[in-house]
Amino acid sequence: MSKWADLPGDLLNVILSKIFGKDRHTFSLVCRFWNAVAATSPYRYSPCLMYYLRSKHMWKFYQYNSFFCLSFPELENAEIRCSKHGWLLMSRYDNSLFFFDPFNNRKIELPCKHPLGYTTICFFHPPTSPDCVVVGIATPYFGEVVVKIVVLRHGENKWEVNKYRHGKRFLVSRGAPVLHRGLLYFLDVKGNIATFDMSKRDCKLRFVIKFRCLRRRRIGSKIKEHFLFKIKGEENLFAVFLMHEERKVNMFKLLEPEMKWELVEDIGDKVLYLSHVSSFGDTAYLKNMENRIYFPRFHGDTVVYYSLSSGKYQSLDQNYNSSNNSCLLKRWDSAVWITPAPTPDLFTDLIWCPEVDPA
Amino acid sequence: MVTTDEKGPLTAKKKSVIIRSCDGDEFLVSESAAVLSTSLKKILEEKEDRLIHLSDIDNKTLAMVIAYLSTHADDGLSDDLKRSFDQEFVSGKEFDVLKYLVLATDTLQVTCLCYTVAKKMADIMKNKLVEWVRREFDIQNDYTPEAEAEIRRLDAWAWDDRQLEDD
Repeated sequence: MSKWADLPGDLLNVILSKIFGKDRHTFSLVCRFWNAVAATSPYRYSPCLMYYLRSKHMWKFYQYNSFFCLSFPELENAEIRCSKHGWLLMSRYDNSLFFFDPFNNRKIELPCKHPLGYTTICFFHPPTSPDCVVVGIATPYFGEVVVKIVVLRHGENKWEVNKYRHGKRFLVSRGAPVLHRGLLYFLDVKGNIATFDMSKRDCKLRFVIKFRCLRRRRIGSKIKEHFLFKIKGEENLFAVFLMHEERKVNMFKLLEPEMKWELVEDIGDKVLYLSHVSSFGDTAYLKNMENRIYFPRFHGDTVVYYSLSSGKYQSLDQNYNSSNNSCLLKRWDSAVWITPAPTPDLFTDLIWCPEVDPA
Repeated sequence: MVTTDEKGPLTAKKKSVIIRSCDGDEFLVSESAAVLSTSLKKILEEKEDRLIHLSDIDNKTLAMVIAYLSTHADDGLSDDLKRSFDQEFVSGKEFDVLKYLVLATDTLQVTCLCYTVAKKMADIMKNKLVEWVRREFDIQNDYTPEAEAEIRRLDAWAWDDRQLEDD
């Protein structure tokens, strides 16, 4: 065994802090010791915040305490609409859609453009899986009081279009929907919940709206940002609502079947990663990350989190500490939390719908 | 050669230390530069000895480390100048040279330089094959073919977030 194999773990972690994507996979393959270092590295357990630096035509990844810059020419003029399993669902100005895996540089074009004006587009299974379904939701602000839900299934080239009229206006929020117990759950701008059963066609109870989900109904109109998510290991759905201009954090747990939000003040050893197009919670890998919510906001070059124990927004370098999420912070509203996708099998089919040529 | 029992030179060069590399070359270093290395500082605190013998650092590498330490101990240089010196210091160096530097700075506990060099090495390792890394670091592949295939297949870096979505 050479002395290089025994480079101190600390040093190997410094090397890890500079490499990304497939270079990390290479790192793990070098020898058993290097793999052990990689397996316990904080980078292994930290999701990346990915956002576009328009001025430099570069994508920036923030992970744990490091920045990585990558260029993806194929993502020019495209917008991230959803992110799951290391895949991004992106739309172009002409309403065409495609999936992109920034860790392995894979792309899957969808065979048909999305019908215009969909506020929210999401998917839940990896796009290589036959279970993958893309769902779009639109609720017009004016005119007809209607909720439009469109569904495109893996292997199909036509959207299934559903329209639901309702007595009361339900305006879908920007927060990504969640698949929970086989149903699609999504929020309106006032914190109410709707569910949609993707499997049943022609069923009266396929689409259900629940109003008055918040006990104090008046706070509904004060919500500025919505996040709906699951926490690994928890049964219930959760939501974080940011209230007023100062973005006061209110966290809730959804009680079912009554469909009421119950205030939550503590998440114990969990940590949340919230962004408009993808939000999730997991058990914190490092003790000092417990009971925190990470948002796509920066103070200088460090990420800002909300500590549920202190009730304050804080930056990693502790230079920012305030209950107010003020204009001092850089907001990356289009940023997305993403976790590396598994390395592809060589024979994975990168075609959504085999009969139709996407070109 | 200066030895510690010669009273004259010692008082004259009170603030200096002599460091000897493994191949016998000696370097005269100001004490203020030497103490930037945590391990040299410890040695100097523990004994009066003004001659430090480093048995695992060769003269080429030691000369580089000392150049770094002397620059950083110079109060006349601004932090900006020191930073650009650091950049210059690692740029254009062969991977081989960097390898020995990283080990030397790790032994001498010059944390700042050690990290700068490690980062430079990481830059060079980008887009290389695993075979290249093993060869350059002279690391034996201690995986069984089955274990290596398994790691290639599983990818330790991928998250298992399926549980979050499929229930």
